[in-house]
Amino acid sequence: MTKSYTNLETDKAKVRAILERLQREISELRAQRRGLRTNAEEELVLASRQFLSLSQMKGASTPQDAIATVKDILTNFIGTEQFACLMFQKGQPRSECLFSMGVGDDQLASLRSDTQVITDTVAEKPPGVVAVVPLRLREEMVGAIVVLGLLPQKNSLENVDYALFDLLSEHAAASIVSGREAMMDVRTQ
Amino acid sequence: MSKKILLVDDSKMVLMMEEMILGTKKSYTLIRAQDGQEAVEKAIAESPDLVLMDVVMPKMNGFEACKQLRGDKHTCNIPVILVTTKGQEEDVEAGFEHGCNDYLTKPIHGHELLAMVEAYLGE
Repeated sequence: MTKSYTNLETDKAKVRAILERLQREISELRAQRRGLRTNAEEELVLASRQFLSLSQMKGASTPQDAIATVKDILTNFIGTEQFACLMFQKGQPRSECLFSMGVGDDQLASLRSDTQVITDTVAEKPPGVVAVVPLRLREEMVGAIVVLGLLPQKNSLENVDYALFDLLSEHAAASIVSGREAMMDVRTQ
Repeated sequence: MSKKILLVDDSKMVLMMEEMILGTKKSYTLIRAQDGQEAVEKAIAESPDLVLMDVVMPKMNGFEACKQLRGDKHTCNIPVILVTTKGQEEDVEAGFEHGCNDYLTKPIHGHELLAMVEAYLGE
């Protein structure tokens, strides 16, 4: 009787150990599932951001539409709060500021003053500049978006932000220019 | 029965983004408004279960719209989450002073948005 009671206690301890192990495994699997879910949701957001950015830039029918889209990408998708979009002007040293946000007049004037400065800035980011996005049109650099500050809640730029900068670099100028051309077509008709 | 969410933002891209995130999870019924005034009108007409609202908008900003929703007997109990680029402490405080239930800063993180929406809808 004593022996079988001891056996029973041993079995109970074994079952308890198995139960504890299973509970640990379940917790680990739950944590993994949460992690996978979070990753999947983030991947979805990142893909959505890129898809929307590209489709809206391609679909802009006026320069205003194109500019609003680029501003949206910069503020709502990337999280910048100080930026300027500068376009080079053929035969002129000063670039044209298409739009800016949170950038002081003096700072803007110095950015616009010399096209060469912007071109150099793309190659070597000076202090105080968060990022410089060259705007390309048919392989040629026609301007740049200069980012001078991020939103307070945004600590730094991430890979996904650089992916959006790449999209802006390749498509923003074309979107703005084709919007301008579409408007010219409407006016001349 | 599917839950109804009113999405308010003057940016079409942000609205589309929120629709993409929320559209994948559950069969939510999503309604759009593009400024605070339209949001108040739609909230009264549609009685949504939750409002996700931007702050900086034309006609009426999100703070004012939030205050109006709290002051109307039809909408005073609808939870409002402000989703905005304005992330300074004073902005967050202003949001709560105007009656919002929660505050989410942009850029939107999918899991944060979904977790908050699910929490407010009791899921």
